[in-house]
Amino acid sequence: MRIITTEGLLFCIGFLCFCITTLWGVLAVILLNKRQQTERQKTLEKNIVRALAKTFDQPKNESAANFVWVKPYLTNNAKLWLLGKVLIKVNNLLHGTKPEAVSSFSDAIGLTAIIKTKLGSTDWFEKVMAIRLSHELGLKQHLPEIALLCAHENTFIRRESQIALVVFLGWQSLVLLSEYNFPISQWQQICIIKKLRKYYPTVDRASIGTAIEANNHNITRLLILIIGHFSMHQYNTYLRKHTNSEEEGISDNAYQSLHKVGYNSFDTWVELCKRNKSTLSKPLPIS
Amino acid sequence: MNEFLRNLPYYFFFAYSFSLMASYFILAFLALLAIKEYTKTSTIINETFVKGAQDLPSITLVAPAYNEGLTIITNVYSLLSLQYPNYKLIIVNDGSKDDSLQQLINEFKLCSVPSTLKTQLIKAAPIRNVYISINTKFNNLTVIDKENGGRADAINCGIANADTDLILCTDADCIIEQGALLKMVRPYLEELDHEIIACGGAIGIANDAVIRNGTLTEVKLPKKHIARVQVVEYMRSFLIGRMAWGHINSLMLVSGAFGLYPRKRLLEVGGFDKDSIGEDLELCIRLRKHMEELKKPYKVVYIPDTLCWTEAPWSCEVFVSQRDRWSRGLMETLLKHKHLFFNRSYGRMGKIIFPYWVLFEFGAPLVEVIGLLNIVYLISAGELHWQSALLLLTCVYLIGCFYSTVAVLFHVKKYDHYAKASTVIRLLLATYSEPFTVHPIMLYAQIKGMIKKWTGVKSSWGTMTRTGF
Repeated sequence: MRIITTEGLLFCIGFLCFCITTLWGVLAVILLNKRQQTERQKTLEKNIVRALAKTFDQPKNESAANFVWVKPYLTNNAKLWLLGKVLIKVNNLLHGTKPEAVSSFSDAIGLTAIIKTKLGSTDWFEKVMAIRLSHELGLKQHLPEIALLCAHENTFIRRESQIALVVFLGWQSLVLLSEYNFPISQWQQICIIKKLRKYYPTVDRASIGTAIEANNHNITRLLILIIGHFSMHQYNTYLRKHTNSEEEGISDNAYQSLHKVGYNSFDTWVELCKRNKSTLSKPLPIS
Repeated sequence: MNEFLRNLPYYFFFAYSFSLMASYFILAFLALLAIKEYTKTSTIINETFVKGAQDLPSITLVAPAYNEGLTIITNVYSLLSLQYPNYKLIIVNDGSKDDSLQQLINEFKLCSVPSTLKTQLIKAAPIRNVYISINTKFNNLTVIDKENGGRADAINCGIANADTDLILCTDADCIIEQGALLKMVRPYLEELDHEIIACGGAIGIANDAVIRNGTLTEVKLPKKHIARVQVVEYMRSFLIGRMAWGHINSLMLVSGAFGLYPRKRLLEVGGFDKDSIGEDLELCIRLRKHMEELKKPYKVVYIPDTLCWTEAPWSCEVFVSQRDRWSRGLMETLLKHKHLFFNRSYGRMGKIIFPYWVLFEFGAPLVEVIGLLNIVYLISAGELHWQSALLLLTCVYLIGCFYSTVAVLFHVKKYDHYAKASTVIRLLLATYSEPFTVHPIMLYAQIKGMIKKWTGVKSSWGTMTRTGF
């Protein structure tokens, strides 16, 4: 009794040979594409810098015919993200000199309109990338659409739109964030602090006060970190209150922030000892 | 009925081989999904966004060193030059007989300080001396000189001396990518619903690579055939196997050469088992068991990017010694945790992952040897149907080639380490010849290891002879 016939085996061998040959073909295409992709990105960077230099003062006066080279990048998703990536890079370089240069350029080449349509996409990745490009390129006109996504069920969409909220609204966004009932990951907290430092270095006490009063435990850790980062010593009481928190990490963050706002090292240490006698074995924080 | 009984072994071989091949195809498919998802998420959550952030969890790198004099200075420089704002490096000199410690003392201007263990929860062999550098440039470096106790014991000593949130266990002979820590810490920062209990990264082979100032600047294909075959073997294992298991939260092994763990959990389970040969697998199983018992949601995650480079065995002798050890380690760990086999109380680990490891990771070499012996018997008895046997072997060989080609394809698509057509062709040729060259040696080593373990022959951890980078 034979489990598998000779014909069956021959068919398997033929099929496997076909599959392996196909894989070789795919490999060859990938290798070729890779070589072209590097060249493509270099050319794109060069073109964008050239076009931006030309249109730096009055981008809207530039004729649409001058942007023909960018058209292929607007039709294909992968190329669109590449264009976005290069524009973000250029925008970061220009930050501080003329922040609106890249957003005006995006309007001129038709990228802003495409990003707006992508904000309504059903694909979560497209949506996230569109939100990312909106806040990185300073496309504030997309704020109403993005604000609606701040409570989206997809974590990535929600996170990115909340970061966009911080970029567009600054300190006031903390008031809005305190109204959402979603946990904020450590990654998002770091990003939010980074954006506040970059775009809104001056503290808006009224907004942070309102956010604290909302008493939403989802943003407690974020607020503690912000207080520490911006050395807001007037919120020592808030920090001290959370040094007793049962929630993992919160009390440590509260102590670190107390330390950052210049609360006396010895006092911090005494607070620690009061809470937990085993802390006596910990070294005294150095100011 | 008689014929059925006579054919029973062949039905078994067929069913076993079919299940094994099917599992490979399923894993390849899952890996494809996982890579796609990883590519998307790593675009959105890119480690460059948190570069320079102050609120990242603190990390201690623990690197045990035993007779690593040939590469220790280059490697310590490499480990000291990582991009991460808040990390410490502990080199544990595990009673080296060479001049490793003296080299470290001279190069990094080390001075002895009193030993201060941060915990008594993990025990290790006695410490002779603890050194820190008087050069402020190296103020995150600590060297612990201790009595020899083996790799696991040395790592435990490092863990006991660490006071950070996370601990990265590596080897002093590894070259770690500059941005590796930022990538490894990412899952710990982004995960909300599960606790990450271990995170592993892919390991690459650095034989014949160009290394400057402790940084790998150019990856080259190893000149030795045995090392070249291992390049594809690592791709298969890391880019397909682990990526696929990680995708369904069923990863049961994080390589000892590069694994990041929360210190809290390591202390709870008592660190590595110093008597175990396969200490990395054993720790991961124990961590998973611990979390199952605590009934807390957890994840073991895997980063497919090659973040750590190491020298692979390039001689037959060293290769056999390594695989013999791996085989003993696997058998020992599976026996130690045999109660997990189809044990529903341990969730997915008891129901799927552990049985898979027993049946396929441990069982495959055994079934292969029995199959080969059966062929020898059939030839000697004149009962072998040559045409069918050759066709069947060709079929199995082609499935292996297909699987290896898929691994190379995934790697080439995602990374630029082997981006030249000529390199890819040489890599494929090496892997297509593997069943006739390296595989028999590996099978021999695996069976040797199993027999040693079975018969209780005492065997050491083995020595890895290095040429140095």
